[in-house]
Amino acid sequence: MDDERALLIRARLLDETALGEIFDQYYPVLYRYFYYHLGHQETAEDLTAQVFQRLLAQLHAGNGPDHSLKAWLFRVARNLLVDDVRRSVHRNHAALDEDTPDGYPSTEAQAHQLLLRDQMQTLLLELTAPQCEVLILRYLMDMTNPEIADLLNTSTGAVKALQNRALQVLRRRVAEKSIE
Amino acid sequence: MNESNQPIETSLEALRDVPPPMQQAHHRAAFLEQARTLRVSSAPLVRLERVNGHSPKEERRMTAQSLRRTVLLIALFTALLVAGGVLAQEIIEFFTQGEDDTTTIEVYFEPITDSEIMTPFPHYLQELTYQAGFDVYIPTYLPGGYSFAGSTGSRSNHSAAIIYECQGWQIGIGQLHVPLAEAPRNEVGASAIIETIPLGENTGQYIRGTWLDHPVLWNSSEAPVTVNAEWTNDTDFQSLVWYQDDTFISIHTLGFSDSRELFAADGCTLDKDDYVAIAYSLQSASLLQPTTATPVILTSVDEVIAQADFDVEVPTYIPDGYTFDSGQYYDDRSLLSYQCGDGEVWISVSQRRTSLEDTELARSEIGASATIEPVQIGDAAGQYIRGQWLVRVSSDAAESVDAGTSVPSTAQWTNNSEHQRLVWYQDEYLFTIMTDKGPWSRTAAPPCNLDKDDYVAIANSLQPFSSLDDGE
Repeated sequence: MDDERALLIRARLLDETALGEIFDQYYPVLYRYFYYHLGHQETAEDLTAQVFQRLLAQLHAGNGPDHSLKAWLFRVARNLLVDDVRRSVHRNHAALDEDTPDGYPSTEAQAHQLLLRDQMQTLLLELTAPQCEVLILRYLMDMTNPEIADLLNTSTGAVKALQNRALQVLRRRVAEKSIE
Repeated sequence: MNESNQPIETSLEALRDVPPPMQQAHHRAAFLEQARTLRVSSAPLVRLERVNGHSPKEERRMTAQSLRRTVLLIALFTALLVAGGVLAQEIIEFFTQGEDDTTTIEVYFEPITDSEIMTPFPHYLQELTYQAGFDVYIPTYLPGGYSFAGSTGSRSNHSAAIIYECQGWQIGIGQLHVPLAEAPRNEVGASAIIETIPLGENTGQYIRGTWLDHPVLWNSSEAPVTVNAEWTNDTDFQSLVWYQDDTFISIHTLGFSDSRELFAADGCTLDKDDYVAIAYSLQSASLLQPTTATPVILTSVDEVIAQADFDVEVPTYIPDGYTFDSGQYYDDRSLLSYQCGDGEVWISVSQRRTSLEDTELARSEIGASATIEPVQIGDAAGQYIRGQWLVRVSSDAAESVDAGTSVPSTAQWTNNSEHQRLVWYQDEYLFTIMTDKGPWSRTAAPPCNLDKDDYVAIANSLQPFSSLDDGE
């Protein structure tokens, strides 16, 4: 039996150790997922916590993930993300470099990397929502195409096509920015 | 931007670094605190019933035939479990590999009792701890298609067995509360592959395979019957065994009760992962029942009284030779147990608050020759019965064994037994006085042997604890 399945069984019993393991394993991952989409630390953390609250509620009700915990968590995260975006269309997220917390790269040597990061973030968020999503999942969350297809409820082929289109758009816009 | 003409995929990597989450520790603490709060609520019990219980509708569909089949398998399973301990010499491995794929198996006659037939009520599993005399493990996960079929426990053998079924295909969870040195050691064929399975802090052993031509056989004579058997790995029969917390645990395929078919039906097939999943899901009954359903064994009547939220009726007469042994209060039920001899016989007095206006006798199959005697207990009409189920094979068992064919087994009722039960319903309480005896014996020597008059006398002596002057 794979480790995740064993972990799930223990989690269904609300085993504290198992739940702690799940939290430790997926909190940073989900936080990054939200942050990549929103670029806002506090909101990303709040939404991450909400994912775990929903997990607990579902386990308590005897429901929740049966097989892939990761897929289940990301489905919940995605739903929360969509809801949040709908609620805060006009929310003006703080610029990425405005409230850089302690421990985040801030030396001059990293300035170039930060600049590149901010520009890429801007370009990424200018893509259509599906294009942005698929690139984040593929290149930042390290998901496989089948995993993405499962999460987005589409085929692997469609994911690949979407991914290629997104990369083309991104390349074109990077080139345009470079010309400018 | 992208000055180095690096691939766009590489540029995306620049986004990987994010500010570290600041609230993770706080959110973790809140998450686990919430889990702790939820764990003591009722939801896990709902899941437990889903795994281990039948709905009343399902219960009514339990036929006498299916009950009898289950009785046979429970008896076989517990006998094998207990008999294995005798073979144990030094326990390093739970399976011992033979020199080849053949062996001989000796089968003895053993009776079982109707009191150990699992009536398909969810609460019954909680009684299993009481029956077995130790805190049994109960699965909280079952593979799809499987549902609870029956269970039995024995204080004299320190054993418990729970059976689950999918389209007639059965698996059992056997438990023996014995020192490691007395844990069973089962022989398997030379070709069997014994796999070591980590199970948390414990280590189990798993095999897939079974002895062929090992019929569901119960010898009707005192002498054992020897069965020749051959090992095969090509089957759905599997076994996962391990030892934890002074208990030997075996999750074991029992197969069909009425045939030696080697494979389960579609939808019922299990593999190693399923067995391991069940193993991981086992929880001690006391942990699963943190409320009034906790089957904690209490050492005095006073403790039972203190826990009960109704006025427990206490016997003011107990036959000579019997003394108070232990008690329980759980699931709106009080249980007072009295022991005779050195654990030879127990009688238990049970009082359960219930709206069910039937009796336990009505929910338990009895033989055609059984006599239900009406008795008057105060203003209530009660029922008394003496007898138990024995499991027998036909008289030509030896020929069938020699021919390598399956030997038909039957559960046979006998009235010649120490096992008795007196049941009545009064004022929203179901009262039961019954023999609680090891499964392998049906007689009792004086002064432990009782008769109907003793049972009726105990019943008529019951007094609400609050009305007793001396509080006893």
